[in-house]
Amino acid sequence: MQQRVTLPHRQINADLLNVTLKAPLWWWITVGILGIFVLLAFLSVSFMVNKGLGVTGLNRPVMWGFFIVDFVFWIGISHAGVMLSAILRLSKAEWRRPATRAAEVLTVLSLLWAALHPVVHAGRLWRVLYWAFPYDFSRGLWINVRSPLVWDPSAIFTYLTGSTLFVIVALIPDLAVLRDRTTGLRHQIYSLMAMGWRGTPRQWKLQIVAGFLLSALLLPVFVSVHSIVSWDFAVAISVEAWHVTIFAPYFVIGAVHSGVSAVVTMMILMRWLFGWHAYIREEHMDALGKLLIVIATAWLYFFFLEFSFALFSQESQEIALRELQVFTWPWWPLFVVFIIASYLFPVPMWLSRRVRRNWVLMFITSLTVNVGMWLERLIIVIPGLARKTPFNFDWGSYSPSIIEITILVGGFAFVFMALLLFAKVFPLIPLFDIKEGQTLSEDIKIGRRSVPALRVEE
Amino acid sequence: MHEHHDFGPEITIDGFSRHVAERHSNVGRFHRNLILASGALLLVGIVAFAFRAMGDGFEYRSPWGYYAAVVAFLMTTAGAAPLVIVALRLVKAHWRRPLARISELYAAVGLLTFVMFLPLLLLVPSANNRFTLWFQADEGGSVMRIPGAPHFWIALLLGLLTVCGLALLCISSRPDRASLSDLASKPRGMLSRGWLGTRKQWVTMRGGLAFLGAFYFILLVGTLSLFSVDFGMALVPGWKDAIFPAFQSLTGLQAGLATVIVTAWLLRRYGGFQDYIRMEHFWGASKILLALSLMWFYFWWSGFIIFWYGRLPVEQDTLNLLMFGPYRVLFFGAFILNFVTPFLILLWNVVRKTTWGPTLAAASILVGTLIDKIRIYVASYSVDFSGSPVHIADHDLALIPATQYPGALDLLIVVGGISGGIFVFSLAARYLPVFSLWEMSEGLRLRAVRPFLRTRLLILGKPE
Repeated sequence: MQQRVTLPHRQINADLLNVTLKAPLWWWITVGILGIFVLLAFLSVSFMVNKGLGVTGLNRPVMWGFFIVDFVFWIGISHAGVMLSAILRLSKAEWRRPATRAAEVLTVLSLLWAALHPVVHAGRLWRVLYWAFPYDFSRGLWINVRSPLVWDPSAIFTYLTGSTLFVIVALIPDLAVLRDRTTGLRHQIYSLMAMGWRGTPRQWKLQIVAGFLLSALLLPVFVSVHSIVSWDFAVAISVEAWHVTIFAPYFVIGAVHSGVSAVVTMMILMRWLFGWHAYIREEHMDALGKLLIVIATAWLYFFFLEFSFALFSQESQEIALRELQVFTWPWWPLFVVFIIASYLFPVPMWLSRRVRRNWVLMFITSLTVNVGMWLERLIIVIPGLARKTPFNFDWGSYSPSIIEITILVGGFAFVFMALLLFAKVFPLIPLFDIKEGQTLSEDIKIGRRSVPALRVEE
Repeated sequence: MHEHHDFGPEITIDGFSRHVAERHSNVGRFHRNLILASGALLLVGIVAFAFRAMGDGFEYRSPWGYYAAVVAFLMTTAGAAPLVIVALRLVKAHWRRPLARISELYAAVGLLTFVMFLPLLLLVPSANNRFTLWFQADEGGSVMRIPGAPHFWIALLLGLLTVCGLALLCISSRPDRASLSDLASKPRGMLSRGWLGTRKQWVTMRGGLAFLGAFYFILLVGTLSLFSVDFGMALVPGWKDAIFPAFQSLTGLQAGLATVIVTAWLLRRYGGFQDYIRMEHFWGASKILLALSLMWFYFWWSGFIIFWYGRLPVEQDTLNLLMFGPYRVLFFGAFILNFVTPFLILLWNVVRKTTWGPTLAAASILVGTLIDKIRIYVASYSVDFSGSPVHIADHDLALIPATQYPGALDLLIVVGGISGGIFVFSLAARYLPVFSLWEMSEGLRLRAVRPFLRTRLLILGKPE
């Protein structure tokens, strides 16, 4: 049953701008602590640039380690924004309203962090320019445009640009509200950003059309980004387990699984931290929980196909790799945790309506999904490179150095800190969307019962 | 009925129920002719099948490619059609209501598909000493024995799918059978099996529909996946394509929806149900069809680029057999009809907001799906003939056979199989109304038009 809450617009403004207009003490402390971790991560990167990649655990044959695992993980998280915002906007799902802004911002921030990884992984950061741009015109040295490593930055930056525009377009009406509630320099900055928004019918129409167009345009970009990331692995024939036709949709659905789970985690945190109990309600968790059951099950189907087709033709290299992943220390416990955390633990829990409406359990289950999905990437990347092949003669091993671990932790701190910083400047729940939802709500009388209903424009 | 400007004609629950009951009790000329014509063609198909069985036997697969294709086509279209309403009920889309029974009635075709599937069991070898998803064999001997694989398990899956579909239809139509009994001049209590419409009965029925719907979804994806692997891909040495089962499941979703759309259009056009099946229903379905058509391309491309980029000889042979060699005309035909045409039609909102636009796209998809199944199964079955150098357990394809054009028997088998599907559906529609009366009535209760500021807006109830 829907839990409708009707609030006066003045109260909606006051509630949703409570952090933006006046940040509480905990906000400063949390940002400060997270900032230290981010600083440590940047210091680690600086140290690595100075000393070289030897300070990491990367070696031959395991040339890709935590950096690439993190890269794939954060690209995955970035899929939350479009999945929730664009698809739910296009399908006019009512329960999207409190989730969209946070999901879009999460997309932008995780993309920013993800995009840093290939650069950091180069060791000498400036060398990345050689891969992305022609660097010697006179000798006709051009980048290899047929390499997915070149497609990657194009896809990521297109997605980043589109997602940022998406956030900005949806922010404009709320910026006008902030403009009208601030003074001095802040007022001037918000005025500039609100771009003369007065809420005229023409402005609303343009804003809605822009939102729809961006939603439709971003969907193929969102699919292409993670597909191209998967092709970084799959188009090469050197690692048998990566040369799999299902990798693109498998990566995309995995990304959606982790991204939507991350949005659930974030929404619960927002409710706890900002006291938005009237806006983020149990019905939203219920709907997200149901959506996650479908997504997770689709992911399991793709995982099953990916894994079983490795054994389909009974090739020794493939069997050796799967044995490494599933039966060999230290991978087997990680594999078990990955399967349990990604599916076996959360999905049976979500089948229960009581769990879907329980904040603590939803927080725990959504968090475990992302633990599982991070491990999934680890299990794909490292054993894939570590196994013995005719060219590297021996089994490889990999253990991350403190530098890589610091950068990993710094990533989570960066995204969370940036979200809090965003909340200090802009509302994390769209004010206009919540007000629109209230305006469109109605009731229908059937016999003696009043049924919640919606006004439908088309 | 009174025509209201933008919101369609005003329909009362009583008027609707009586109209549908009346149409149901009097079989129209179009319906009767359809039953007769499709039944006759089915008979012709059965005779053609008998001639093929007597003439070629079941020793080699190459004569049976077209037969396998039509079985796969029925599984993909009629088999997937009930899933449309399962999915739409799950997301509580209001526009689903007139499509509900059309979608469910296709479960009856499952019986025909199951019967037609059985002869294929004689053509496909067991999982011993060949590549299979059942992980049963390698060159040195058995690795993990799964008795009866794949024959028993896939027959079981398809059987369960058929039973589940029929159960879904049976449970969902129970309140309607009670309504029809009440509306008939001679009440027939047997039809409704004690349905009184108590709260407990409704709760049980909804729970049953949700459970069976979820079960049907799992069974359908499982069946389409395993059938495409064990009765298609695994028969071609060197063809190892993890996305293929998922792609075949996706084509099921696309073709299932296309089947429902085309049927809805025919009912609207020839059944006299224009007031109940309207533009908004086609519009709602067209958006999903557009998304599925885009996904068709995405899944195909995701598989293709890996083979094309990888450049392994075994992968190039597979591409040649299926896409750029003897069946390239069919491949490009399927590509155009399953992706390009629906995409270009459904891209435009003005076209989506018509009854003919989505129908045209859906018809294109149905033809494309048939062509695609012929391409896949005729190509897969063509490698096994008398004196063929290809062995099923080889790691690569020693020979790419020439195009296998259809003979007269093949054409009759294909036409007979498809007509059989139409025949069973038409027969089922003779015994159950083509509208879910309870679901339509519920929709009418949850719908109102009210003034809002200076305009009038449609209000849709969302009870959950």
